[in-house]
Amino acid sequence: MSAARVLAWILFLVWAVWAFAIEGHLANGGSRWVPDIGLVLALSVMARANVGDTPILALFAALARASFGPEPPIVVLAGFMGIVFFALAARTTVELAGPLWRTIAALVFVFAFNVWLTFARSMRDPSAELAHTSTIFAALPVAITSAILAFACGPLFAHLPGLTPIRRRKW
Amino acid sequence: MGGLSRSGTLFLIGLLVLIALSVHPVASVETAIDGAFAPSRVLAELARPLAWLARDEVSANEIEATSAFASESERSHALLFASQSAALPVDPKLQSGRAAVACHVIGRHPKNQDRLRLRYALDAGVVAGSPITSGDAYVGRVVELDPFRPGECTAELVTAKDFRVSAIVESGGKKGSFVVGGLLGKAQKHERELHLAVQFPSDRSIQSGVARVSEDANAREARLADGFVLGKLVVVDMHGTRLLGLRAPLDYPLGLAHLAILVAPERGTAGPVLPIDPFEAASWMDARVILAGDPSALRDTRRLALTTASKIAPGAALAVGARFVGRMERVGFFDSDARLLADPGLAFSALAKIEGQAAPIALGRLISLGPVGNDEVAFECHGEIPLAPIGGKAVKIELWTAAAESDLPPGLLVGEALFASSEPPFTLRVKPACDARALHVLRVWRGRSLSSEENP
Repeated sequence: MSAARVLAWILFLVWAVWAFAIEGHLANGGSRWVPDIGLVLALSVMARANVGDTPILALFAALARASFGPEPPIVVLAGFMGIVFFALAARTTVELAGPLWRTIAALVFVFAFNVWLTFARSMRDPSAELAHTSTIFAALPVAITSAILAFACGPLFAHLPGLTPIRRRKW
Repeated sequence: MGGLSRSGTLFLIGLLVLIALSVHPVASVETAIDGAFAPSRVLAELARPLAWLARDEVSANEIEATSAFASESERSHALLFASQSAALPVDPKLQSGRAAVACHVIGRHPKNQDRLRLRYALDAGVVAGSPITSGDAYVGRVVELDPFRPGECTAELVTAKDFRVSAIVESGGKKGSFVVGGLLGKAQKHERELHLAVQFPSDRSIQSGVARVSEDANAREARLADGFVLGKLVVVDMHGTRLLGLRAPLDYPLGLAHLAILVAPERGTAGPVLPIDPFEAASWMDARVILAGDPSALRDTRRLALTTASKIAPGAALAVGARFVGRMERVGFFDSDARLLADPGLAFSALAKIEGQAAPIALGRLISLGPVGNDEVAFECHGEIPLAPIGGKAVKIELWTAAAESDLPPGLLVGEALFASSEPPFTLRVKPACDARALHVLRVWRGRSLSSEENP
């Protein structure tokens, strides 16, 4: 791996940490209408990255998110790897970088990611009784705002300074 | 992925393994992955400038909680004394010939809910076999003192399957005796009305009256419970079979917080001494919040700069001043996770101080259902709030932490709620006393300090 690519991955990690930190800071107001900025960033870069790079991207995104979130790292990692798997599958038929599909992808993947976190938590702690419908649908505001963010800022996220070596696919 | 190539298949297998390990955790794998993710602790510090942005708000919140500390801790002590006093015998006949030592519940045996752990003031003369009571009602007896933790013991409830206590009942000029212990039928979760099992009745024609303990033939400690109420004798229809039972005077699963241990009169403490002071400085330590926020949309947690070196265990209470704000979820080698009140699933035992009533009521465990609007949190409650008919008008209740767990001190202010009479389980919308979301330092409960053990 070239020095430029190593630097690009480090910068992706820093951008992702900042994205999750800003997201946490905004969510601190108590509103659920806060987009999953870090996940939208990961999806935006993933839509343009080489297939071989996507597991690294998932690992770095999980590392950044694990810095602030309470979920066990293995659960976060499994969530991001799952998104990579389905995003790559989707990428074979649709252009995930396009405005429509990046919006739909953000809506679906952010919702699925949050449902996965809730499901994993309820499986790990059955006494918590969390996986009922109201808890799961509480993820909808996050998914909707993330979709709007992906529609408006997807290309901007993918072109953040330093990420060019990761961004191999044409926009 | 080209129709699932070899690498795609391997990736899918790896993903399925990760999913399986996520939902069925294996300790060694979790430890290894936690170790691999250890650098995330350093990464979190990259976001420190965001904490500086909220500094003004932080100061306002902390100043308010700190300035209210003196008055709130005073109210807390008054509440705990009221709760403790309510656990002492009321009937003058039950007050003589014995001393009642104040104690509170600090936990239940995980596999046997009929076994309680109790904390009491040191040198209170408690011995194995000492009866446990609540007001004029009999609760159970001490089965063993903890040799490693002075001032703590294990007690067994009268609801335990193998528990036996002799009782007498008088009704219509007739006097009968029997043995009481265990429950009639299997107790269902959150069942409201429990019946204690009656065995070997001397006179089956007696089917009513108030049963009281009568341990005349037993050891001195056991006899201290003579006269305490076991329940009202009733005939219970158990699937077509009519059996004698005692309607339990207490809510054993949810309503036990402050209790009394009966000891010989010369061994007791003078008056109700609180087994613990929840505000003793040595029992708390400060922990810095790494980021005032949480990227998990459905959670309300904080990452704390607190490590295993602190010897803090998961579940420890978090406070600001005298206000309860949450509990520890995980304590790691590099950092920790804390759950705030609005984090769904957070549970704690609560006392309700109802407007116009002197003694607080134990509500059992409240379970957070998450935030409601911007400044309220919904809690599921299975306890009963006994209210006189109020014509549908809501009354204000103040919630405090109750004695039920060793890592959660009683007497921390939780918040206020409006309550209109309804059958449990019900939802309480609580306005927390402290908005912990904007704080950058939290106090973590370390447990009863050595100094409090020496001078309770």
